[in-house]
Amino acid sequence: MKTIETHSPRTLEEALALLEMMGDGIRVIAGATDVVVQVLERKKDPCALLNLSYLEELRYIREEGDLLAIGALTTHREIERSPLVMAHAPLLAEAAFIVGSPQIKNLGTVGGNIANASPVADTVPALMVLGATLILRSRGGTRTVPLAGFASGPGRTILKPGELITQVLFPVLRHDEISFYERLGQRRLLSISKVGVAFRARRRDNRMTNVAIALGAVAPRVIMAPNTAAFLEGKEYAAVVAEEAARIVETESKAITDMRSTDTYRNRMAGALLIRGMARVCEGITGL
Amino acid sequence: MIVGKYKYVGKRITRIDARPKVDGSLKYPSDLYENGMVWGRVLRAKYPHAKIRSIDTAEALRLPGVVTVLTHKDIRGINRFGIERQDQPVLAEDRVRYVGDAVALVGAETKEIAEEALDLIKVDYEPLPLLTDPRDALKDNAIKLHDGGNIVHELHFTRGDTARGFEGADVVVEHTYRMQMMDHAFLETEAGFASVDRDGVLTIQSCGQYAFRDQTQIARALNYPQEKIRMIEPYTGGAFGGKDEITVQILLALLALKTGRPCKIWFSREEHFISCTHRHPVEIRMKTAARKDGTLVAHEVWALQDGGAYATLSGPVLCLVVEHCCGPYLIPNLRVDGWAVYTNNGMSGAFRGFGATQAHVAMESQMNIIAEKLGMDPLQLRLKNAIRRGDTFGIGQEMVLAFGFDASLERALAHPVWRDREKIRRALDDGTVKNRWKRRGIGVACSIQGSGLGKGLPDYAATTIELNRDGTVNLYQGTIEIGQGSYTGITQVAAEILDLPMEKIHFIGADTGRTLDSGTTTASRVMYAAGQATLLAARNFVAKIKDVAAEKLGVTAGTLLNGDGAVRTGDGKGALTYAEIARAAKEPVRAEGVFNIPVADREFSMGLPHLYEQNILENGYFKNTGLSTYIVPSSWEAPEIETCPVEIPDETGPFGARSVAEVVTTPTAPAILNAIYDAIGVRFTELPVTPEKIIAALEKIK
Repeated sequence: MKTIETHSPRTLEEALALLEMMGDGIRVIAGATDVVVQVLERKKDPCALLNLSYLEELRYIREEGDLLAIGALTTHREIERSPLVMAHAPLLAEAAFIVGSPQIKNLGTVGGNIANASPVADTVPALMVLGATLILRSRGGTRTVPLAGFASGPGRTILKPGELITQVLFPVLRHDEISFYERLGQRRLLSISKVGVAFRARRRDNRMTNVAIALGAVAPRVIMAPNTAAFLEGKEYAAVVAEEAARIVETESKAITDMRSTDTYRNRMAGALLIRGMARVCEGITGL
Repeated sequence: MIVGKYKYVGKRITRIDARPKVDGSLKYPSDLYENGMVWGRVLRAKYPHAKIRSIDTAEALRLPGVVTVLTHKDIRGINRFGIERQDQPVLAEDRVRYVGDAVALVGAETKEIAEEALDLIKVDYEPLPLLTDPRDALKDNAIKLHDGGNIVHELHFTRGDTARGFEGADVVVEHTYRMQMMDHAFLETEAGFASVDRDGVLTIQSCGQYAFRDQTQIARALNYPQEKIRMIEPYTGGAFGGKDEITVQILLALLALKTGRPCKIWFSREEHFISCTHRHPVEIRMKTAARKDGTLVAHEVWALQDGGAYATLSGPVLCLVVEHCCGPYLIPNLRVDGWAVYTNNGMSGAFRGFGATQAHVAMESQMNIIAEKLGMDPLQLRLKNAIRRGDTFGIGQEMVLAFGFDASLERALAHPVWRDREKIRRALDDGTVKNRWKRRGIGVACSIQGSGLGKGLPDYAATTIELNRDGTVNLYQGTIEIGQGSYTGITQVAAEILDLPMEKIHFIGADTGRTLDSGTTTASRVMYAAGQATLLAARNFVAKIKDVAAEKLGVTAGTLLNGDGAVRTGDGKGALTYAEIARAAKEPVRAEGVFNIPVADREFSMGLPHLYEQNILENGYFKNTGLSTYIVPSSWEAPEIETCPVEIPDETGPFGARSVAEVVTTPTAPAILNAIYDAIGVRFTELPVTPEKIIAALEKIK
């Protein structure tokens, strides 16, 4: 194993300068939970690493008016335990909880989870239905992009050279909004998701509006399920409605078969998870 | 064991190794480091089957920090190992037969340099055609993986006349079952530490399951005097059979002898997955016949076991497949044909259950299928055919000792889960949202497995107990503590006989320089054999201290009583503590016992992995070589377990104890297969059974 040159800047400015200077020759790491594995398994062979883990300025969860702002270096553990997240975006806390082990959650960051652009990233479907935007910084300036268009394929994003994700931002859920993140792995915990479903909707007089559904691990990137959302729009919750929605979401799920699971299982379970989650948040039925 | 009769035996006692394991002071083989030590790394084969034309180590040797690069040319001995048959090269010569074959061994100042050097070794390979289907291995025109052909072992047995048995039967069921390759997934990957002194004495602290056999295997492979090899292997971080065969030991010895420096080898998880022995994939076809009343009349079994590249324990595992192919049932007409073959599919060997597991998956499925065809309660069918004491069953095993199979069946029949199973199953059919997606099934399965190596194999254990001047004792025992709690169990046996508190007994585990050969730590034999040897040693020890005390007190030894760390006269007037006896003795007090269990509940969940795990191979290459892709169930997946022990003491075991390690892991998988059938009406005959397979099967029904 060879030694890899690693730069650990102490400020964002310093990090952006290094990134601009080194260009493509440097790979960014935050918690490094993905990159270290890739390097050890010799799937990646970076010349140099830019270690962001000392950038305390990017580690926060705060309210900004009706928005919740999360610094890119905030760890899954911090999100999972944050009273703000639990109050304003409980499905994000659920998604952060399900990621890996406590050790991984203490290292892995939300910015890294997004930048890695894996279709199985658990926080991404949750953030998508929350309508999250990302703030991207480079030496040249700042731009804001919707999370929904950020990943262009597995491991591919619209990040430009010299750019870093610095913040994730989304409107807080209102008191009349319901949400959940449900997923299945090869075991309950400590496993990569085979399929994940994120859901949010406004619910007034049992009627659902503003429905948003996102699916993880069933396409080359995390996708939305607009047809299912449209079907549920304006409907009252009932077990049969959820079952009908499940049949639609199964057609929107475009899973493949790989070592972890099969296309049929993933597509069917996208529906099952929608039923399970809706029963939980609409009727308080757990253990479905 | 009859709980409650004894002071130490049968009591819930804190393990003697609990504290040092928790506070980290107990060193496992992978915990050993020394300044100035050499890190060893192994170059594994690039192809699952290839000819090696040449190996060029020059560039690797030039890398700063590399101490040595060794190939087969550096080995003076036979360069072969294998418990049953020495067919596996320590370092490959002109051919590799699986991706785990060791081709070269690098010694370097750091692990990283050693790793880098591996890339600089140039091996010129000529890939050869692959043999990956065990059925092909049996064909005459198959490529031959070894000079002797592709058959490691074959067994054929006939009793009675199966053809006639089938003729007179009311029901005949025939199915083919396929069991997958599995990994032991022990916590500590293979590791060890070696050093050599000025007199050439090698000391190797390593993981393993039999220090004395490892010593022999090293001596033979390297042609090094056995008496100059000391193996210390008391604590191993899990094994389950996976460390029975040689792993790091010979490589460590070679590296230490060549460098003269302390050496460490510790396999990575990936290296473990590709190089180690696995659970054998076995294909079993069974044709079983019964009469209307449930009596089993004929049974034909065809078994094909994929052993992978080298023999290791394929032969003995096949023996157990064959031995257990009737389960615990009497069947008058039997025909079994079994083969274990070589392929390029990794390597398989010992794994908890050791062939009995695979055989029971098939047989216990057959039993439920027959019961359904006959409209019989599956437990009653089992009871009807159950073997009892005095029976000769299977391929001629005699049940000479007391055992409680029929009693266990009666107990199960009376259990509320079985008695009310219809009600329990239907409890979910209440139409509620919560339950409408759920189905429940109740399954049952049985198993039989012996303690010890079995008939015809030498199977002994020996324990030494010696008295210290402070009144404590040293207990020397050559078996290995691999997590099963046997050192605690053995200490309990000694404490009971010596009537001495556990903490006054110092346990010295497997060390060829200090302990006696006690055989392997396998086959559910340690608590049985080493426990019994310890009981005898303790009795001999008590006799010796009584002799010393009798002389000192001027009484006859027969009148003395032993208890609470002292020996007393019958009238209580004279007494000597163990410490006083040690000082009074003219020579050291030491006693030996030679011969040939009590940590039971949680073992049952060990059968669960059958439904989850599988080593996936494609053209001889392992596809899942990490614990993120080879998914092992966690404590979250472990179900609630209720144990209902049926206590029928084994007259030959220490305090009536019998082993439970393996026999209880075996029925879990077939019980769940039967439960799945009960729940959804789909019979799975291939393991693992994943949610994906269940969904696919359900879609088909729709």
